[in-house]
Amino acid sequence: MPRPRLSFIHAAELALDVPPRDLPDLSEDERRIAEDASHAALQRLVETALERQVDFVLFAGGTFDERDRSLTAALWLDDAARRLDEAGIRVFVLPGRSDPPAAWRALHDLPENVVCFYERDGEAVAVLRDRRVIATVGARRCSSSPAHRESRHGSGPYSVLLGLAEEWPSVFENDGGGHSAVAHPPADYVALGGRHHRATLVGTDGVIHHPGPMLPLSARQAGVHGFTLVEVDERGTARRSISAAPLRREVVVLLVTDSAEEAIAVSMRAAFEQLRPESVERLWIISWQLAGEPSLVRKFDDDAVRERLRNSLGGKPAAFADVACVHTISITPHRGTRAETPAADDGADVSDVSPANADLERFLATEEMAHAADESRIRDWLQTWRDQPAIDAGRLTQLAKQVDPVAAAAEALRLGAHWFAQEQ
Amino acid sequence: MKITDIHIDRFGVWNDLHLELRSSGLSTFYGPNEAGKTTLLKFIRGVLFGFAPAPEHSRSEPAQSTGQLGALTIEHGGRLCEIRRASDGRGRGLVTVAGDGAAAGDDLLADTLQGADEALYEKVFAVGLAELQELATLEGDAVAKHIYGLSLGPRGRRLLAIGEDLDRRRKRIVGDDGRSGRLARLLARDAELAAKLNEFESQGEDHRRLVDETAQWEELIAELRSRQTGYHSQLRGHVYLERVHPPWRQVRQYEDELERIPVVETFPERGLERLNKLDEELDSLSRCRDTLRAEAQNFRRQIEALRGDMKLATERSAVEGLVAQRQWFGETRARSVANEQRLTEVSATLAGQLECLGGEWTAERLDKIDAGPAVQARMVDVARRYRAALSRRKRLRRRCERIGGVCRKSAAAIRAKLEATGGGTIEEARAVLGRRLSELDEFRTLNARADALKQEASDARRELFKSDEHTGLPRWVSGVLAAFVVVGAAFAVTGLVAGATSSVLAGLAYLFIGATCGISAWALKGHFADQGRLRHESLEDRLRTAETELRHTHHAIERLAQGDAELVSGDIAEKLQACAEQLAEFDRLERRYRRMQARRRRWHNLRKQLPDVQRQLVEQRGQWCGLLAQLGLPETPRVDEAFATWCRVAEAVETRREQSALSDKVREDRRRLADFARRIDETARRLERPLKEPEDRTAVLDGWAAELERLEAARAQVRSLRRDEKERRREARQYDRQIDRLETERSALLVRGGASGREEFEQRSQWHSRRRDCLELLELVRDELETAARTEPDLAIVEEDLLAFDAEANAESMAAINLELEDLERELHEAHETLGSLKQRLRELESDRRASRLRFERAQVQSKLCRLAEQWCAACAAGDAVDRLRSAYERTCQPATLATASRYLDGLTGGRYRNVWCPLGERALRVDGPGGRALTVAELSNGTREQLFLAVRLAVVERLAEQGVELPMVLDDVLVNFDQRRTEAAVETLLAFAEQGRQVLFFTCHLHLAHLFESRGHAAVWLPSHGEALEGRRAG
Repeated sequence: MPRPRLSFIHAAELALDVPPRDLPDLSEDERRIAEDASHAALQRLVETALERQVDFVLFAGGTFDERDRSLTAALWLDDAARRLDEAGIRVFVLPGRSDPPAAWRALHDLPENVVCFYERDGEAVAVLRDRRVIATVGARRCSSSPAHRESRHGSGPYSVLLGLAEEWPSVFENDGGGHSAVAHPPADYVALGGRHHRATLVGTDGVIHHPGPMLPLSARQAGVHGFTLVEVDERGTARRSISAAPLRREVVVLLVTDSAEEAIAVSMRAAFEQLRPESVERLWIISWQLAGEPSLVRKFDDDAVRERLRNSLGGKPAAFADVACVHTISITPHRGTRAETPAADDGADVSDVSPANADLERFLATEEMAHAADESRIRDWLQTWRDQPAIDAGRLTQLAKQVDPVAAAAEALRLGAHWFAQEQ
Repeated sequence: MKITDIHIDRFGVWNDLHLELRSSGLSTFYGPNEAGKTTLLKFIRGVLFGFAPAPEHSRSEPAQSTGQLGALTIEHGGRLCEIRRASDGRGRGLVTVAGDGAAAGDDLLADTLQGADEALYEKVFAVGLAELQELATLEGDAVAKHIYGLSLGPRGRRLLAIGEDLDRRRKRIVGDDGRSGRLARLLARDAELAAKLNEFESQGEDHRRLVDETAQWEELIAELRSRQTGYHSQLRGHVYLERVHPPWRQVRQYEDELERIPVVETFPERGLERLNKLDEELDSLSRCRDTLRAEAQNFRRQIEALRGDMKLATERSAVEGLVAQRQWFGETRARSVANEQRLTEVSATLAGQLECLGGEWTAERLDKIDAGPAVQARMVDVARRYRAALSRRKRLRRRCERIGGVCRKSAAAIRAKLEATGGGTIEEARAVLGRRLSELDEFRTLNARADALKQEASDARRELFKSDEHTGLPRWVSGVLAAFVVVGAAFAVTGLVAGATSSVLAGLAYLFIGATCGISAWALKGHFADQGRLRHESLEDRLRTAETELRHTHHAIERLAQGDAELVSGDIAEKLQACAEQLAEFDRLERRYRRMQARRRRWHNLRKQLPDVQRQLVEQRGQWCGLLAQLGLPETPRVDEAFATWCRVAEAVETRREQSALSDKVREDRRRLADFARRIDETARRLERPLKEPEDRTAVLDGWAAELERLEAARAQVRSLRRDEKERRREARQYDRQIDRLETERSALLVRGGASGREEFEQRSQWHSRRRDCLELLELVRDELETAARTEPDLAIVEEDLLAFDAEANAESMAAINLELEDLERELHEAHETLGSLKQRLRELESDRRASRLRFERAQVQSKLCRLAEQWCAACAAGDAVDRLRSAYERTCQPATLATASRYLDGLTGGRYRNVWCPLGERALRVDGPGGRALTVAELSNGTREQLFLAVRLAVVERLAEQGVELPMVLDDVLVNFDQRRTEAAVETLLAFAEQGRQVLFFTCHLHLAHLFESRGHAAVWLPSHGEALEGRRAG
């Protein structure tokens, strides 16, 4: 007897009522879109589940943030679960780092169709259709031991495992190559969640997939965000990524080879015309990065110039008719072609002018300018702030962890370009 | 520039000192304390840049003792020249430069110094131990620019600007005070948002609590509703019983009553009603008939009472005629009385007017007078002409009198003025005064001239006296002449010696120069002597001229004074002022005399016109009197009086006319009134009502009019009463016929009801009616009972319940149940309200997005905080990098002077300190010590600090020499604090420095230093003591 076709939705990091970070100044309407982005994404997920009549829905970690103690998030989740319950769709939840099991236990009013895996490696839950088990869903950590692999042969039910990317580190770190968990996944479908980007590893007899976060919460999370509609049958596993987030961040890097403002404006406009929003997207935050030699890009490190460039983008392309767009422009100087470093000064009179580029080269060549600043070094720098009234050691450590050395180095490079590069 | 000789005529402790120096290399001067080394240093500086002024207390001493004089012989640009400076102790001194080049004086000195000023020289070239030890001497602008470089250069400026920019960026983040920048603001906002978010922490628990409470209240409401349903069922049973019992009871009552009432078989339909109706109609018709008959009797009696006076009816037309003229009679009689009264008043007025006009005036004379408007106009015209003639004569007379009086007064005043000035005419008095005025003016001019000449003579005499005092040559000319003579003599002697010893030609050349100097001195002396003589002669001529003119002026004054002694006495200005005032007074007098003459001529003309005016007046008076006589008025020349008489006569004429008219009217009215009274009397006699005299006829007529009106009203009323009486009698007959018909019908009805009389008929009718009603009611109650039974089909009721039904007990039960229901309803209402409130709070809580918004805002704040931390780290990293650049720059791109100083310091310290540098943008020296540690000046020992400063000065001197400023360096005991090893190193360094073609003068009071230099081939010059003779002391 052939195995029936199984369909479900796999979502991770829903981050219900968790505000996006690193947003530029927004209008009231834009701000409202950003605030309600997680709710809109959840609604989109539920509507898709009802429309497709899926067998179940997987929430793989990060569904909400326990620290926020958000009532709104609990209500949204309850509402979604009830709608799915009315349609007979079960919801399997894997607690994550931000929504630990204790937080889920506190939500005691959830409908009965919600199954939360408070513990890993527990008993798998059977999914029935017409009084017949068509799949089993469980939660498990990664293990290379073959003993943990589910047996799936012939006409048995499909096996689905939930896990967190943090608990399956070796899978993605090794890029799948040679790891037994990838070559022979322990289930037909391993649904990963946690903090990771969208990724898929296809093994010989199964698939490991992470749909990526539902929302672009940080500035570095560019691109389409949503969930994955999975369909499994005897032929294999088909995955379809469905956009759900109304908020989208994009980073467009333009290589500056000409310091003429008009040329950059034309390039930006052309790139803008090529962008295409998804139907559910309502707000785009486009970060334009003008990269190039310091002498070329330093001209654009000016508010007035940036404002002119923003204005030069003019009206939105037709594809963005219903989408609000917010543009931010920054420069990314890089060393490019190295200028000849002059010989060190030999005590010549100060009136002797050394090329500024030489200073710039020396500046860029300094170790700190590379991404060598580690957390302890950053903490040393931030020690100056210890006199601030609202700063304590814990806060400083937290800030030091949050500071991105790459971003700090880029900012320092921008300063170097500002100080030393001579405009062409 | 190099000094080859020092010659001091007098300066401080030195007098006539002459020192010869080596033109290059180092010269050492040894002398004990107070030997004059520092004085020598000051002398060199003073000759080059000017002597320092003597202290204030020494200026009062004689110039000879404080004077400063001396010279330096220098070699500059391959030429020798002497710089000599002389000062009397009060100024910087006068410098003279004598050399063999074309340039001379200040130009040569400036060229020699190459722009070096005194400050630079003092701080760099000529220093003592005190200057060497002070850092401040190196920090003045003049020196610092040579040490620290002219500018930082583009790179240095850029690095400095970057440092400032970094500071600004950091301050923007943390603020000027480290606690008020963007960071503080963000942290404060974050804390504020966190505090606000804390308020929402219990939102979940609140929600859960509200949900639980809502469920509890919903359970309570369900229980209350169940109880309410039970009570409603009980109440329905009681209500049903209450509703069914009354009809059931009525059915039973109607059935019992029907059994008691007898049966009446036949009875006319509505018999009792018809009988009652017939009786009522009979009573009504009888009452109407009786009323009509009574009214007809009443009308007959009224007609009889209205019959009145028959005589008046017979004479009715005559009486009506008299009554119609009643108003005319009254008016005529009143007017007649008024006219008689007016006639009496007018007659009295006329009598008064006649009496006022005089006894000769009577009514008849008034009738003859014509008082019309034409006569009056004519009288006015004649009176106007007469008055004009009178006023013309009066005006002419008045003007003659006024002008004559003014002329007389003016003549008297002029005569009085002339007599006051001595008689004669105005012209004579004026000529005398003019002559006096010219004399006074001439006297004043001569006096002023004499004063001016006296002053001029005095000035000339004083200048002459001064020129006598200064006949000698000026002091500076004498000095120059003396110099020329000395130089000439020197050249002459030199020429003689040269001619005798070496060369005749050279001797002749020297003699020629000496002669030239002598001749030049003689010519110069002659030039200044001629100038003095010419000036003296000119002053003598000026004095003579002034004295001669003064004498002439005095003679003229004496001549004037002899003629008039009064002229020289008193103030001449006051006299001139008095004369001018008198002259002005004569001018005013002459103008007044001319005005008086013109007025007198006008007076004569007016007097000639007077007779003609008098004649015209006489003619007009004649016409006026003739007119009065013609009008019948008394003659009078007074116009006003004549007009007053005329007015009174006119009024009397008018009164006379009114009196005549009133007399005629009174007579006519009296006649008409008498005729009308006679007609009234005749009518009264016919009515047999004779009048009693003197009865008022008007009252009689009024009484007759009233009687006529009453008679007419009675006649109309009688006619109406007769018509009404006839109508009432006809209607009474119709009612009699209707009463007969109704009585027949009533008898027939009684027979059909089986009764003999009304009482029996009523009893039978009551039985019949009650029986029928009971049957109908019984039917209705049975229907009602069935309807009540159908309202509660699910409830059953038995006969025993109905029999045992107690309405009061049932009502009490219902009231109790209703009370319970009301309590339940109230509880339910409260529960619903509470539940609604809970649900509302739940809805509010669920729709409250404030916490989300706060979290959103806090996330952005924390993002900004993170970005700020990144910017801070970037600034720190960039600052580190810039510090490296700066450090490298400071060590490799120092000013050349400091590089040279490093070399000298290396030599002076024996290689212990090798590098001198200054931080970017600062004027502070740093020395790299052992181990590469940078030391500030303060951190160095005293000796090392002096070695550093000496090295810096040597470097500056070398740097200045490269720029063309080449001056000898004078060091005054600057090595005393050096240890032996460094002293030897310093000596070596100084010798090496001097061997580069520079001149160094080293003064010392330490013998070992002098020996040290001597040991290296530089013998010291031993400065002489101040008592030794000048001869025999030579340097070298």
